[in-house]
Amino acid sequence: MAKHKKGGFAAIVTSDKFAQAVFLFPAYLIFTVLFFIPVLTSVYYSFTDWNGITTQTNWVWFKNYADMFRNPDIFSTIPVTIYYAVLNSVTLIFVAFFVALTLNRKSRITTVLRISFFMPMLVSGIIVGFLFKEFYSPVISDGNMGTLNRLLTSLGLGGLTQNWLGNKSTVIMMIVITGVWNQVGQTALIYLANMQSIPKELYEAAIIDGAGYWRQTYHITWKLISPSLRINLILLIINSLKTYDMIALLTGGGPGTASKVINLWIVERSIGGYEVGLGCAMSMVVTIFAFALVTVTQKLLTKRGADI
Amino acid sequence: MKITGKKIKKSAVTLLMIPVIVIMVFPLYLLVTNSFKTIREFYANPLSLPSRLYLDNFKYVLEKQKYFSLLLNNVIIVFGSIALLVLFGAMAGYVLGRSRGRVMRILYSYVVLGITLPTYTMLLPQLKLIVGMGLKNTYIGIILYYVASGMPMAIFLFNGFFSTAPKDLEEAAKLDGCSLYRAFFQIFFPLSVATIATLVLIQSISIWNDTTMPVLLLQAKKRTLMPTLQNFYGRMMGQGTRWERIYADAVLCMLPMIVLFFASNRFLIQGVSEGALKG
Repeated sequence: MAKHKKGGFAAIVTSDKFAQAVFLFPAYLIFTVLFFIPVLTSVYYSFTDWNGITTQTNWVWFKNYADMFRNPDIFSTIPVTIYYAVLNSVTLIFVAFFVALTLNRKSRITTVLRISFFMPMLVSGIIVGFLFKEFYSPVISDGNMGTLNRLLTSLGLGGLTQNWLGNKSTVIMMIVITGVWNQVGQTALIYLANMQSIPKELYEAAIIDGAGYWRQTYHITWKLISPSLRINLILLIINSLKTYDMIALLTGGGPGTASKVINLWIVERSIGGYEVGLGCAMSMVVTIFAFALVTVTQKLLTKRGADI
Repeated sequence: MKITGKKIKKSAVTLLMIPVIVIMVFPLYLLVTNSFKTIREFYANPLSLPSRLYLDNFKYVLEKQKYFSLLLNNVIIVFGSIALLVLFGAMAGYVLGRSRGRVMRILYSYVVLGITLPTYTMLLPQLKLIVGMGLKNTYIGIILYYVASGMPMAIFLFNGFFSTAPKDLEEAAKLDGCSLYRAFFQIFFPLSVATIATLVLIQSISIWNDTTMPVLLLQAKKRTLMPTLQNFYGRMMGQGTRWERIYADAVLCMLPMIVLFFASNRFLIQGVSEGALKG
């Protein structure tokens, strides 16, 4: 390494340790101030009665947490959130895998396919929300049906028309289907990047052994995509728990509270209802819950890795 | 004989994919075609192509929505956030990815664990902090918020990329007497184009589409397109459910992202595989 003769200050500035610190500093400063400290204060607020406006707050211990579990309206959002997050993640994990498999095959329409799968991820939650609200609606105005019911009628399937988002037992399913359309591209993209890094020789060896396409897919592709499966699971769980815009516009939590996920409630109470302390307590529960789900799935994946 | 069988099979798969493409594109088809119709035409048949090039919806939106000044706000905020995020994220990711040791591992986990937090958790504390720093209703306040929110993903991707970049490059740079600064800016940073493109696309989408922070932090004049679209939607629902106008506004709000998508599309797969999967 070339050594320069320089005075004390210049020597420090050009040393590797100092340069490393310079490189790390801006990122860590911004992250710590605007991400990490808010996480800590959020924990703090969850034990207070802060309303979001006044500077004076009272320490109330576990009152917010107790209120939350005592209030049946609040409590009912927990199973809805779990059901939605799990159904959404599981569906996307598998659907996106098959999408990525298809995109990984070379054919004349690969480019068109790719664009048609990746485009929907640009569409924002609120646009997805109102676009599909119209699409699923039974009656939009003056007795006109929503587009899906019209489509079914014009295909001669008038018997299938219904109030798609008005049915308590299927509303979450409809939201998941909408979400799959919106998010499948991103999930498939991560799989696809992984698939393209699997060595071609593995497949060639399998072909010599006489393995067909599906056996190759199961024994090679599916077993070698652990890294992307891991990332996809984390991102899907977190994104499912973060979903707000789409559900707020599609159903607003209805019918009744059938699609009222925790976030709708948090925003309604803490931003609309000035009960920030309570909102923070609820957020803590979501966070602990997200952490638990992520940890469990990662443990399961590690086990899966060990089996191979 | 075998080859033709294979070819037939391949064409069959291709044919099967056509309905899938139709389903994926259909919602966007509805959004775009219906924005060129009158409300009467929309109700008469939402599935058809517009009968003529009817532009009044777009004219209406451009008149009522101050589209271009909102667009400028969006561009300033997205561009500022992404520039800082890419620069700071790459710098930190470079140091983390090129060095070993316990301290670096802890520093890495400290930020990347942030990916597993649903951001609604700290929205209001973040808001309070930014307001407390005197940055309410400023671009810099919201930009710093987006940089902080995007940092876990940025460091995750850059760390992954730089930890696999060839070792010899660094040694060559050191032999030439290159400082860490020059090695990064002249050799390593330009190498990470695909990771940059991936990060730019993913983060731009989420910043562009955010409807929460701009409403809480910025006054009407400095707001962005998506929250204003949400208000417009509410207004148009009140004025006789004018879907055609809502759709026209939605198309205009999405347009710049579509351009960005086609510009960064070809880097995408490479970027994800270099950044996210080798780390």
